[in-house]
Amino acid sequence: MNIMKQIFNIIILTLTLALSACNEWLDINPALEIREEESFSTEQGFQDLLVGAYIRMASSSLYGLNTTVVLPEMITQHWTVRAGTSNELLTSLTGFDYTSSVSKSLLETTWLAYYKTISNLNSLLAHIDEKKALFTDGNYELIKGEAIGLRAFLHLEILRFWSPVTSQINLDDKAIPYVKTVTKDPNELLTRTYREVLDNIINELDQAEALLADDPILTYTNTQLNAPGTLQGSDLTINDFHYFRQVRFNYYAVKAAKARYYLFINNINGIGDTKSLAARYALEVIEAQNSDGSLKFTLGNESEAGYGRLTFPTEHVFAVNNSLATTTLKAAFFEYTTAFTQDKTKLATAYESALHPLDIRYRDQRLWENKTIPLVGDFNYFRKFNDTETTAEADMPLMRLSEMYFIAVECGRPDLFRTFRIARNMDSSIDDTLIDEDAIKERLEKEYRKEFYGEGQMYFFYKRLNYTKFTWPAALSFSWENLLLPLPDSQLLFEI
Amino acid sequence: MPTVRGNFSYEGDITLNYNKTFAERHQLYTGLSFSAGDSQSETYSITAVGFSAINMANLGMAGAYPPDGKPSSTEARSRRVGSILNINYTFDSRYFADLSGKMEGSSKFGANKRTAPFWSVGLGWNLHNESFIKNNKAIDNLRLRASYGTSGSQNFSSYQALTTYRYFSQGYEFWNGSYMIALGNSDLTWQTTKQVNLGLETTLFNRRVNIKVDFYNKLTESLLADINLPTAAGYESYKANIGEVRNRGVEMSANFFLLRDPKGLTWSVGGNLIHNRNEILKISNALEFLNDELMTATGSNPSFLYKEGESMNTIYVVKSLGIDPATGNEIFLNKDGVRVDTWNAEDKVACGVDDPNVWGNLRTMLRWKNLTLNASFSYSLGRDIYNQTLVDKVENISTTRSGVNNPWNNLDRRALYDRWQNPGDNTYFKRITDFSTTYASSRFVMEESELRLSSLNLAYEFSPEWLRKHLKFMEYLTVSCYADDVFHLSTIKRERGTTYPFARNFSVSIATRF
Repeated sequence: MNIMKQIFNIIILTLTLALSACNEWLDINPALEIREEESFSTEQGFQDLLVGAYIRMASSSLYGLNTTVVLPEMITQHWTVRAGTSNELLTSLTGFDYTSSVSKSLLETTWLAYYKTISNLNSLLAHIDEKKALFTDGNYELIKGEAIGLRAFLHLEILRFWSPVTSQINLDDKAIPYVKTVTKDPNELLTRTYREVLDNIINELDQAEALLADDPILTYTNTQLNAPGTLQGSDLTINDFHYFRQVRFNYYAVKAAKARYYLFINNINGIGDTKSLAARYALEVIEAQNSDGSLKFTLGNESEAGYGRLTFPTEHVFAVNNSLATTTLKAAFFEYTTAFTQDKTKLATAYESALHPLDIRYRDQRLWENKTIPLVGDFNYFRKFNDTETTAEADMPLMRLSEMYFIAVECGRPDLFRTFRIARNMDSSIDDTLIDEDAIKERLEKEYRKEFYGEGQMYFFYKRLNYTKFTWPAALSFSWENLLLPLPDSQLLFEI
Repeated sequence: MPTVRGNFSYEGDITLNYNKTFAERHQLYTGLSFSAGDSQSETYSITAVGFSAINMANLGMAGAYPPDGKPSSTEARSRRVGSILNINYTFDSRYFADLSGKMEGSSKFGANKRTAPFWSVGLGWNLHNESFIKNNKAIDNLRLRASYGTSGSQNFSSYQALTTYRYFSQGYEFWNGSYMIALGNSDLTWQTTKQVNLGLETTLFNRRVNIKVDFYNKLTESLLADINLPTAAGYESYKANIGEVRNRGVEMSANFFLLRDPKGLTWSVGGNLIHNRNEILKISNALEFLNDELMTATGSNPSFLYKEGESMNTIYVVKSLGIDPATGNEIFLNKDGVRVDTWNAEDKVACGVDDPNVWGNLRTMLRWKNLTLNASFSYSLGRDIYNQTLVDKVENISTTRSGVNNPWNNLDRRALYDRWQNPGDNTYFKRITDFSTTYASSRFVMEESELRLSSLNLAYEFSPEWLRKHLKFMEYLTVSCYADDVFHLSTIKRERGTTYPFARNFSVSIATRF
């Protein structure tokens, strides 16, 4: 038996040796995937994760469609369908029914897409400090600043969607989860109080502002940054990752987000008046200058509008670039079966077309194109996002200069409305009408609709100012609960 | 849209065998094999449009790529290694011993645990070769077996163990973007199973009776499952090892030839019986948290919680005392044993197990000359079922026509006739005017025992002599009729085919050979 034992030992030894040598052989890299350690071994890996967050934001489940065109605009009754047809989602949302299966699924998808985007940022931020040495050309500060700022911005967006009207917010009530780590611990993924969420948002926006102090947007003009190549060969050669600041969460996006934040918290029970802070940050964006004294962001003009660029790219403080925009938006708007249309006479009321016949947005069927379809009849196409019937603007704006004007107007600078009115070529008779708070509110309700039709801001305007009735397209009274979105079941199940 | 596929794989094997018979009575067989494999597959597909002629489908004949079109590809690659050592020893054809050891490795497993060892031992005793039985005419074969072994399975993708990123196919200006595929779990380990088996096989009375009995005790450790997360994680779930489960049971099968006459009548009956008891021995903290969440879930679906000491298929619902004849409302028993009028998620208790006590099948074969009849039944006894269709069709009906399934038009008549209407009505179903949702209660947990004639087959085979005489060109001819799901007897009444159509097949077939 001794020999047997020896043979056995040899066998075991050979096997062990053979298999341990194999460990390396078993280590293979998939071609379409990248491992964590590899992803964070280069600056490129960090860049890609940050860009990945923007790409997800530009997808149909977020700003490419659902959180701009669909969810908020359906609730505010902005869309209708051709007479005699119906759309289940539109019926649910215009009836404030958030429990129908279509509404539920929209809310689930939106919620998950938001937090999935945040998980990209969290995984990047978890590794960036230990790899600080990898970065060149100030990209450490740029990437970290953008990621932290964008995380705060996205949480503010989720909060604006899933909070009730301002008067119903209590700082110690549960709001939404504020997620800063990639984690499997359910306790860290539960809702936090408004106080905690708001503190986190402003803290992170402050951090982002400090980190983005050398943002290329401060050095170069947007025209330069949007035309890579023009800077090459000159003294101004810059890092490839420094271009296109308007579609990245730039320094001014932080300012604009702060303006939004202070307007959002204004008059929440226990917070009080924060209008002056909102106005301060809005003005920083409005007044931002290039080194030659020209304005960083300019209000759109007749030639832009004439060309069909009705989101006014020069106003984009922060937008997302969607290379599939044409496919998505053409299908959404240029079919007469669309759920995104509106009645001609109602639109004339909304745009006060009798009073402002030369409004650069509305004149010449620029925003709404009326067509007669054989066997169908009269039909209105919404063409804000489409230059022509076959091409859409790739950049979907999330924060625009016009919104900063509106914030300033609402927060103590009604005089600025005139600048905006002139830019849009509206009639001067409305210039001296903003005499008190109610007049301002009444004007802004009209102007938010005209300006942000299809962009979703109207819904937040109504919630922020505690509206309980819509006057357009038809009078509709409701209770504050009707504007409150329920948390999706996949989250609610875990909330005690 | 042409697709190009490339597959490349290779396998290598080395086997070493050693056989020897010592002193005529000791037989030894040993085998050692080592194998390795690599498999790769890749696909590319390109969509093109504008082909000038319909029969010119070559890619080069296309006019253009479609708008926003792009090539797409998939890639998969895996490698594995394995080695097996087998030692079998037989003494005098009476005693057997097996020993086997295995090392397995795969590139799919997490970096820290690419390889894992497994082993098993087995003993056998051929009683029919012992002198005290050898001469017993009644026993053809009698064997006892015992074995113990470990095995492993790993049914998760590599990215579920390691955090991995993938690239979006869509760009962003001139940059590319990546995203996290899933929440990796670096603690993920193999699911391992330890199994003890005791068995007996016997053939009696000139092979007329065949009986086989097996007892087993199977312990599964590091059980793999998906753990749900609040979706604020950005992901709905992740893979984790959730605990330890034991399956213990008996399997018996028997076959009897009651008549066996090759020329006349042959009749055999047989069947099997399985009893299994499933018990959760240990659960992980993550799962415990999930249980707490499930415990608070409302709705008309029962909860399946994983609790130590209970079966994995235990139904958790609130205990019901039935419908109060005075009011038509359901009365519940809360977790402290007190009668209450309201359903509360936290009062859910274990009310039955959705596993049968015993199940199996029975079959019989009757052959008379060229005619053969085969029938096969399946049965199960003592299984608890939550009667979902009853809840949905009689109580949880919608009052509007806008619902997706338009339930107003698809009701059970009991929704009108059998629900409580007037004080004093002794009914099974709640008040007819109550349109609130009926939540999961024990009122709808029912014990089911069923018997099904799952298939029936009658065949006639023409004899070669007859064929030679009448149909010379044919070598073989059989005509048969077949029916499945012929009948179904159950102790509970419920609708079938509400989610997937229920089908019953009859067929006639002719098989021939020329």
